[in-house]
Amino acid sequence: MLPSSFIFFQLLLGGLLLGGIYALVAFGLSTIYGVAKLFNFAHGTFLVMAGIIASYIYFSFEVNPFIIMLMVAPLFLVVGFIFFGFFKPISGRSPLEFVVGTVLITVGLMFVMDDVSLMLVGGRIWSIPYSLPSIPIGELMVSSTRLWGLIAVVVITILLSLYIRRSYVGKAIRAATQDREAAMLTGVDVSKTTMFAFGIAMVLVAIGSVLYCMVLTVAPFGGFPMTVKCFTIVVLGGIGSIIGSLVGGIILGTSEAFVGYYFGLPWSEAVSIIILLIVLVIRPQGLFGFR
Amino acid sequence: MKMTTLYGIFLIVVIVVGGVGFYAGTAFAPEKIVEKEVKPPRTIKLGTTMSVTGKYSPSVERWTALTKEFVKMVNERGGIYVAEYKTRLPIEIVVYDDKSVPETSAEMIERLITVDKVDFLVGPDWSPIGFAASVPAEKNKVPIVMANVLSLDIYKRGYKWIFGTPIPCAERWEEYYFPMIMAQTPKPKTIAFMTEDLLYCQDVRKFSKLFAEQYGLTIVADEVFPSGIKDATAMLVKIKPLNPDIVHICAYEEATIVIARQMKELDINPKDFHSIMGTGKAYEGLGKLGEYLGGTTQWIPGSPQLVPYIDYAELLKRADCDVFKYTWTTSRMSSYLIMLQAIENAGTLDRAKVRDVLATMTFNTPIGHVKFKDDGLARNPAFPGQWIKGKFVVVGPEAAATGKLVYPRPTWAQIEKG
Repeated sequence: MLPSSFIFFQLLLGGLLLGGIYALVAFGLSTIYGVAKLFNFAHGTFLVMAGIIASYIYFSFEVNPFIIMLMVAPLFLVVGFIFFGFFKPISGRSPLEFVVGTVLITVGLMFVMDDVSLMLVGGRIWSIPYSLPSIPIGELMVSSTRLWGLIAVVVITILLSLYIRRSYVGKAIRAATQDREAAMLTGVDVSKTTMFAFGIAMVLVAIGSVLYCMVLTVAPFGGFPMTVKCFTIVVLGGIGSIIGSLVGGIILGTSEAFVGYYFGLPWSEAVSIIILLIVLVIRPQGLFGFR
Repeated sequence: MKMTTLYGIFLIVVIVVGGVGFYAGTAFAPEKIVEKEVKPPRTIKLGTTMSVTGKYSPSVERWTALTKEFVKMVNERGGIYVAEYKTRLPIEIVVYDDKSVPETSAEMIERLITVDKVDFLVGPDWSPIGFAASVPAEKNKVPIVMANVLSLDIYKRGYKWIFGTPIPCAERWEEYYFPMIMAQTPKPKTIAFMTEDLLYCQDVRKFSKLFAEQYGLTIVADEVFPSGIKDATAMLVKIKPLNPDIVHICAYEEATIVIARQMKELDINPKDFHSIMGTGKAYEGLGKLGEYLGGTTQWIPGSPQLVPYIDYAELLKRADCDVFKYTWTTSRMSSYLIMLQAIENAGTLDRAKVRDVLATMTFNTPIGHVKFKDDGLARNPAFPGQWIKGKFVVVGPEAAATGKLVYPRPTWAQIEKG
């Protein structure tokens, strides 16, 4: 039998790497909610769409996945801007009408995108079967693919954090997240800022989708469970917090791995809901969020 | 907006999303997908539901076209001879989209019987859907030959009007696999099972375990995982130190891909890696790693044609349907073929008489002879195979094999190097 330390580290590693990818995608959801106060139920479906496009590029041209990231990111920046356009007509409505409208738009988009992707590319299971040899460290096998994925997540998180803290757009996004009205009073063009927030969110989804497809698979109709996962991470980490998303993602990823091992895999699915409930009761604003 | 309010909205949407699927069939008028013009003296009207949209839809993409072509081919040869009418009658098949929702399927079956006045029912696929769809058929005493409805529980309810052609059935899914694998050198000694928590996967696992024990294999692991698994690490770190000779997956393609890729990451190299759904979709999704993946097939292209009314290979060609990608196709087509043979042999469209023929006769299908047991379920085996250089090679039984199993399979690293 292998030592329990092997199992511990293997599970930890698996959870860390997967959690990092979750975090990246979840931050996009968090940003959109923070700035525009709308919950994007189609977020996971955007991930599926981006994953399908990325996998298609990989299979057609055998391009390195890290180059595919650079290809799909600008595409999804534009997708983000277009997506923002859907909410323009309801932006001046009463809060209730706005909430109902956004739910209808995002849920509707989810259904439409599912069927459109099925119609265009069929029911194939998409992934990027790009893998690098695992690195053996004693009994431990470290997946190079996941390791590079995690490094990419960390680098992107640092860059994004710097951008949000230092750039004008980043500061505007933070201001709009904290207090929309106050941001407007200080001269921030909230509409433009929101549009950029949508763009950034979609870029993160696109990058996350490439990393996701390098480890896992996507297929039409598979987006909503990912939205649920992202929602848990956002609640756990706190709205608008990059570090919160990263920590939330890692907590979720590692919890799933450990619970799956010690209590059986069927229980790992329940972890996200249990965490969600605990956080909502103890710290509703999330670990790194603000009231 | 407070987090608790957001959570409330989120919960409502989760319920609504689920509800939309549930009520989709009741809220909107269903669309007829295939309908042929009725010609005198009458047509034989079959009704079915198909998962054209929703979660099962990727498996049935080509079936609308297949069904149209099937009707066309049967009618091109004049239809089905019905002695009662002393002539050949053309057929038509009315298809409704069940949206992959069991309740919708049941409702559409009721509609097919009461509104469309179909003579007989064929199709629906998938155990959850078959469970629901068989109820109105039985209640209205309309014979139904379901297709890929495999769960044994469905046939244990004492129903008299339901029949099923899941080919292969759970009991015999791996009937040819185990003798074939035990004939290899070095003889495998241990096996690890990994099963997706679904009705039919659990059934296949149950009988595969019996086969494994019967052939003297030691079961070193028997893991069940939830459907839609994304990370199999927790399961695989248990299996790695056991170093099984065979890793046997009872799961859909998506889970097969996830497990295979993570086995590669953890460097788990069994002598045989076999999935009950090692289909073209799994192979495609795995890329290079799909080489030497084991699977099963219902039908071997080029095998002797026993099928009446149609040329099966030609039908697949016309509808552009690859059976290795759309692996459930043969069962679906068999349900149509069996119903037509039952009608022809009964010589009438009388439902009770056709039901009696279904219960007693042996039918010809693309995979050979099919006979329903007393519970209404046909029990046919599948042929094990392996993906070798991009082709699915049937490796057992000897009489049907189109090639030899590569055993022990190369390691993941060797496979990747090509």
